[in-house]
Amino acid sequence: MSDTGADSDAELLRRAASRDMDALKTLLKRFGPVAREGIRGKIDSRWRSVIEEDDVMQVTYMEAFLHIDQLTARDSDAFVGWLMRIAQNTLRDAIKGLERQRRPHPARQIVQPEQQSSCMALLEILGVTTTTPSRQAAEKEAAQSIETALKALPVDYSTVVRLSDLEGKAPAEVAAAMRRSVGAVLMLRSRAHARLQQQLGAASRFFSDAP
Amino acid sequence: MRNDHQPASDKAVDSDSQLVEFAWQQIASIPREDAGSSDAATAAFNRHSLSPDSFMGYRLVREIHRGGQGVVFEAIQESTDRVVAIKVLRQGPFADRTELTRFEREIHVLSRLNHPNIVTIHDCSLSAGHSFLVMDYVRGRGLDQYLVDADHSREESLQLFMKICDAVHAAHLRGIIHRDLKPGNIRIDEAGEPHVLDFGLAKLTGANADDSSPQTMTLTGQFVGSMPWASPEQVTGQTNEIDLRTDVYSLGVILYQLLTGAFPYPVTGKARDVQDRIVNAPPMRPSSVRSVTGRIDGDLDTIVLKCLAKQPDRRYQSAGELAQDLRHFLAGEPIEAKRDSFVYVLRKQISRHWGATVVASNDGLTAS
Repeated sequence: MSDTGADSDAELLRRAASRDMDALKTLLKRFGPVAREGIRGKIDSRWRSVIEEDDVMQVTYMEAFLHIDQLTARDSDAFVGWLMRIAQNTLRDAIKGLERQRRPHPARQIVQPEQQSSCMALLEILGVTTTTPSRQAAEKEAAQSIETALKALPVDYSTVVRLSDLEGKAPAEVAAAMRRSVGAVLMLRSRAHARLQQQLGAASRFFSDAP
Repeated sequence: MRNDHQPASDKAVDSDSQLVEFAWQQIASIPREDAGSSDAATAAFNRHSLSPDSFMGYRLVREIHRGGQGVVFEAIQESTDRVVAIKVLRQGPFADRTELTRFEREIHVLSRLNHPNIVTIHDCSLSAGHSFLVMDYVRGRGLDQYLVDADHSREESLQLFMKICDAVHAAHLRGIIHRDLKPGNIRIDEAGEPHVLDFGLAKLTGANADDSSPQTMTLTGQFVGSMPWASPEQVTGQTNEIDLRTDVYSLGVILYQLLTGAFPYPVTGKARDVQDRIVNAPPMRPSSVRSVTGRIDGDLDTIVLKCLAKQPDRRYQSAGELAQDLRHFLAGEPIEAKRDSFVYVLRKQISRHWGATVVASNDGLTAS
């Protein structure tokens, strides 16, 4: 970690703040292991068999790339703090998902096997509503919008949404299909939903009711 | 700036570096074409301090792709009104030596290649600190979209794939190994012709070889490229083993996708698990993939699996050989991959003979 030369922390942070992904990549490699300390020991013994630190960190790095526009850190302390917050939020989401899984809310259970209905159910979960009055047209529109939004997600995110929300598979089945832990699946799903909310909310035909 | 952040251990650094690379691959694989609205283009110009007339003689229209190294814009060549693609080095004046070398390498490689199925370079220069190259604009869709659209027959897919193999073979004959073949680097024009793009990671061999080939592994052993299509020798950093058969492996993954819509192994999950599958897991036969519609001939299974052999010696020894075997298959002839089986060759010959006999008798019947 140097403070001088082309690869100094300050220079990398300056470049990363102007959306330079390669600079961010270097910073993540440099400070990721430090940010990892922020979640070490935070995984409750109940969840240790289903949530691994590596899963949390991989999702954390994806989130960092996706949120590069929110990076304002000017020194390594602030950068580590930013990264730690993402890691802690990511872990918190996974734990929330696991707790919810124990007592699922009826509205969050996807039961419709048919693709377009599943899309509408997904929109309901995301708190995104369509402005199209006809249900049939709305379903078609929802399916198209979700398909477009899924294309703009990282593969792990789109896969987890397709399997969980559109195909209605249980977390354990999705975990087996993706060769991930159940905790990782819930974490990815939560993050994928947040991205979808952001994208669909920004789309012209949808608006978000979510607080 | 304080500098008291010390990583836990070398193992942790190594593990996190791999996770960062894997996360980056996921992000970099997101197609940008869908976001090609005028707003997106304006944002792209702003991010790069570029204006639509940044490149003398060309007018930028919109951003069409953002990759790990460069940003590609659709543009108009003002003197001819021709639509072209301009690839701009992402970091502009801040690009480091490695990126510049890679970019210059792509220019060098493309200028050596003249093949109808390889994108043609027209111009390259430097403008306001931004290195850029001007190429054919291939109006159409990426092979990744072609895979999703599924609006083609298996034979059409194979004909298309053979053209891709021929293009890669032509590059090999010029001593150029692509090293990053994947559907995202192949575009299909409106006439259905494929065009191989992005030679940024290409390696020159033989009489062309020099020391400036971009490394697909960093000094710390991190793989740079596209893991789902990478060969075992690439993901394990055996750089001395990388040769034209490395491209044959990637072509095999693409062929697998064309036939099944799936990868030979799951490519989601932890980076080290994906790497382990590439190195050790035997790929499932394409004909046994559940999602496949229609029967896949056993010979196609053999061709694909030969491409995906873990040992380069067991693969086709060139993309030309692979294309040739597909031609044998489409003509109903014995494929080279099974040549060593006398019974197989005999069966094929009998099958062809009987096919011809039946056709002849039918013709005879019709004539009489």
